[in-house]
Amino acid sequence: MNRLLGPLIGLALYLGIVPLLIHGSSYWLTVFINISLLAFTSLGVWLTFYIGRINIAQGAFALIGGYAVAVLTTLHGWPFWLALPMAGLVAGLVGGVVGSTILRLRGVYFAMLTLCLTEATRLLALNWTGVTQGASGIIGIPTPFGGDSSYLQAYFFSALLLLAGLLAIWRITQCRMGRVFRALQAHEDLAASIGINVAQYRVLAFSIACAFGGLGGAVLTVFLQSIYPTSFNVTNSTDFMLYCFLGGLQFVLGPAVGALVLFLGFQLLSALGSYQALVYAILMVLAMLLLPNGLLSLRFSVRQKSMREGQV
Amino acid sequence: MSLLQVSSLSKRFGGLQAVDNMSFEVRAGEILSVIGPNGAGKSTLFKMIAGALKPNSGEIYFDSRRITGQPQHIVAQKGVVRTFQETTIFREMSALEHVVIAHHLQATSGAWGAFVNSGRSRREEEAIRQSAAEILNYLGLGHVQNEAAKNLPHGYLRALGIAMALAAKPKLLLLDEPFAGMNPEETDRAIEMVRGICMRGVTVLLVEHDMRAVMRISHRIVAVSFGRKIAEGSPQEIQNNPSVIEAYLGREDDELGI
Repeated sequence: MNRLLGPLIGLALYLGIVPLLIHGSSYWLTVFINISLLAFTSLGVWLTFYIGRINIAQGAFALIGGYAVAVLTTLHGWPFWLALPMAGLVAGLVGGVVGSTILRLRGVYFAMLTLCLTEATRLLALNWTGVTQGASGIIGIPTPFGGDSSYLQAYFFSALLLLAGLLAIWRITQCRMGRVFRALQAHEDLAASIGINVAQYRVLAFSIACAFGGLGGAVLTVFLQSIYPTSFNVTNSTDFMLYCFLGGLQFVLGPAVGALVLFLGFQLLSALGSYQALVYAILMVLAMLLLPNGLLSLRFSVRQKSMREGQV
Repeated sequence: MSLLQVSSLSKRFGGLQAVDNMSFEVRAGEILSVIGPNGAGKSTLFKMIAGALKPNSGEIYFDSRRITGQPQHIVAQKGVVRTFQETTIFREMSALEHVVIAHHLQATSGAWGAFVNSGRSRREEEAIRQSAAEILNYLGLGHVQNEAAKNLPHGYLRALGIAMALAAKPKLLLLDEPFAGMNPEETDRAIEMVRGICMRGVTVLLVEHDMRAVMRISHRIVAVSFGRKIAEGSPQEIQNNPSVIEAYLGREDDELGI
């Protein structure tokens, strides 16, 4: 019961109290819709960290998911509910194919390559005009959220998507697959020596990560009803990574907390006008210096001992 | 009966012939040691058998099936499992978790079942956990099973490495310098441990520097020097073999007369 208390309070806050407070403001609803979807997308980056790889490509897969849903719904008339899983699938498959070659690299080499991947995907979207319509983008994407309460609908949809994502990633970390991923993070050769097919599990983790990117990007695109080659770029890829770093890489909730604090923080600093980005950057550097294991380490530093005894 | 057959195996790194046309066999049920001075090619040989390195030429057969150049996880699936030197561990994980992960090949319930935590997967998890605890107890690590591996002393880590290998249910266990850096007491215990594993029906191939331990434990020994096999036989035969003595102690120099 004690273990359920925290998640239940979080759930009540996010699905009850927050929408109750902000349901009248489309600005604040938009802020929280963004937080949910950015956090969901970052969960994929977190999973790549979980197998020991720094992933700065999530913007690329958000873009792929975004274009997939835009092309399918706008140009081919697919319903959103069919196009959305398809967007995740496309991003996951592309991730699997790309991953099977680049996942051999590690450390800074993998990170650099994923950064390039984000840029390459933008250029592809810009030049593959037959599908993406190039720089003019795809606009007028139909949205499943309508009527007076469209923002509130989008809020709940995004929040539930985030919850489902958190639940899925948490289950992965708890089951055999997660154990294998942790083994890959710790030592790939040792994992191979006990019969783990390292290459296959690496690609599996990366595909799931990319599918998260595709789904998150697709919903963001549908919410904005437009997509351009620059909709998700290197800055977004870096942000997704920062959410994970700042939230805490040891915790499934890390990317969600990171996205919440960073995105909300940036909005709240808007009163500072032209100093907004400067103060934001300084705060971020301070957070990294003081809490190198992420914001969640604050809370867990107290409980670490009891946690370690409980886990296997 | 030969369990592992190595024939004409060669490996070259640039201009260095690390392993040169080496052939020998490991018989089922025995403890075979490969000895040789530093740089003799022992580790290269070891890695090629485990699938961590591809040979340039030659063949490796295990249980009459060809395993030459196959990836590590396939070789492990077929029953050849290696240990590493003690620094190779999953640092943050507990000893128990190491051995639970090493049961990877024994897990038969599907990935989806594990993901949704199905009843079958839960029962399997429980069985694996029990088996892991048994292996740890057998190797005398039961009392530290919840300790993070990075906090364990070296002797324990060596045993943990062996515990992981055993969890993968090997037919042939490859041990990489299992007695290195041990004091005589620890060596005694480690020798008993390896003998016990052999008694349980696991064939052992070990690479080792510690001559005294090797002489005590091995049924047969293969001596290598500069990538070539220079002798093969029982511990007594190896001890009295002139080429082995020369490889280890050097040749008398006639000109200087020493």
